[in-house]
Amino acid sequence: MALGILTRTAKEYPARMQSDEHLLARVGAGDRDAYARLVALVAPQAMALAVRVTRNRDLAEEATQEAFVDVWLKAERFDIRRGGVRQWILTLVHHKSVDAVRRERTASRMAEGAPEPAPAVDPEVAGVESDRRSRVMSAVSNLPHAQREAITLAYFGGLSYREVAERLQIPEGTAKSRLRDGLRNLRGHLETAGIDLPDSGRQP
Amino acid sequence: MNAREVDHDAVRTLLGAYVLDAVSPLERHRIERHLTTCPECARESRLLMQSAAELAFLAGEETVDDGFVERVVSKLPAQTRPSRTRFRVLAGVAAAALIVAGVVSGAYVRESSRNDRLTQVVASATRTVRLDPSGGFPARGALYLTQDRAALVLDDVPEPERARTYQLWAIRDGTPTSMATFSGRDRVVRVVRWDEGGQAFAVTVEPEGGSRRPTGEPVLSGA
Repeated sequence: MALGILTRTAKEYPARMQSDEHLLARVGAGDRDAYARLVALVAPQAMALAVRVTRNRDLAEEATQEAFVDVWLKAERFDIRRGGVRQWILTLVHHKSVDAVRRERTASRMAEGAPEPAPAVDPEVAGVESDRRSRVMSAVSNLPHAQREAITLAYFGGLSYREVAERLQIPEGTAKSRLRDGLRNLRGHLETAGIDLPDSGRQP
Repeated sequence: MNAREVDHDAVRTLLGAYVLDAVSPLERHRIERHLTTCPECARESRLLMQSAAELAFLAGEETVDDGFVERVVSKLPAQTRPSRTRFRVLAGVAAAALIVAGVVSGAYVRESSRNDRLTQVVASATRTVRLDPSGGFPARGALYLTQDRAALVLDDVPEPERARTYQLWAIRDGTPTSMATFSGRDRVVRVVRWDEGGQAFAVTVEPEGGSRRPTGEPVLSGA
């Protein structure tokens, strides 16, 4: 009998060590416990992103919850070749947050225009300083100012490219290309900062 | 220039805005329709999306109150979803789990030959067996079987005690046959030649070098 190893390790299943990928696979199979664990793991980052975009805790919670329900519904269709589980969930959270902001803006007909978005590189929200966060920060800070500004307004301000153009008083075409070129450049800077992205080495 | 080309050029310039959620619902619809028919744009959109997704890490973390998870779970539809594609998804997830786990932890090590082998086996798996723990054993994972290979992927494996090893068994008609012995800890991945099938599979703890027949109770098993 292998009693030694059994008694030594007989303890609560260590949720901390559970990888996002295996949890999501079990969520895809309809496992609610795995789902709850995954939600608990990603919630702090999800809420931080939603609060940043919506700048309103109630809206943020609503958007985050909607995104997590989406995670449940779409888990089976998740495609690992496109990127990591966490990135996928946060992409859903971003999408729902932007939706919430736009609904709110339309509802209140904010004639004074969109609010000032928080800056992309904000040392004050560095509650938990993660290695990845500082790497992404350094990659973003290496972008040309105009591209960084456009991306920040769109991503964290929840502005459409038209609103970005209006805000910066540049043609819409320029706004579109700043966003696209900025993200292309960002990919290189992320890799320089030591972040490996899927499809690396196969870029044109 | 035909209509599709016009669409292609218009969509192409919008892809950055699209992956940042900075287009109108109408534009989004038009872009997504184009992406299903244009591999070139689909590919660029995927690459841009991967850069955009990293921006989320800039937001840091926010404390979430105790009831949060419960509130989310209470919003789920009541019925269990059908899981026709369960195994395919499991396989797809596990194929890249190693790579992605490395990326997320920031400790990515390129072990391409090993990963490629795993990816191949998992991608061509004709059968996936989930291995569930018993007796409070903390690990779990899955076994992927092809015509002639088996890939074992386990998480949270505790290091075996001194002079002990893990052993993986295939059980056919009640008779266990050894597939592999392994040690290691945390994440364990083994790809072995295996063309003999099996109705059930189990992992036991055995003396170093392995046993001819299992001498311990299974710590992991599945069928």
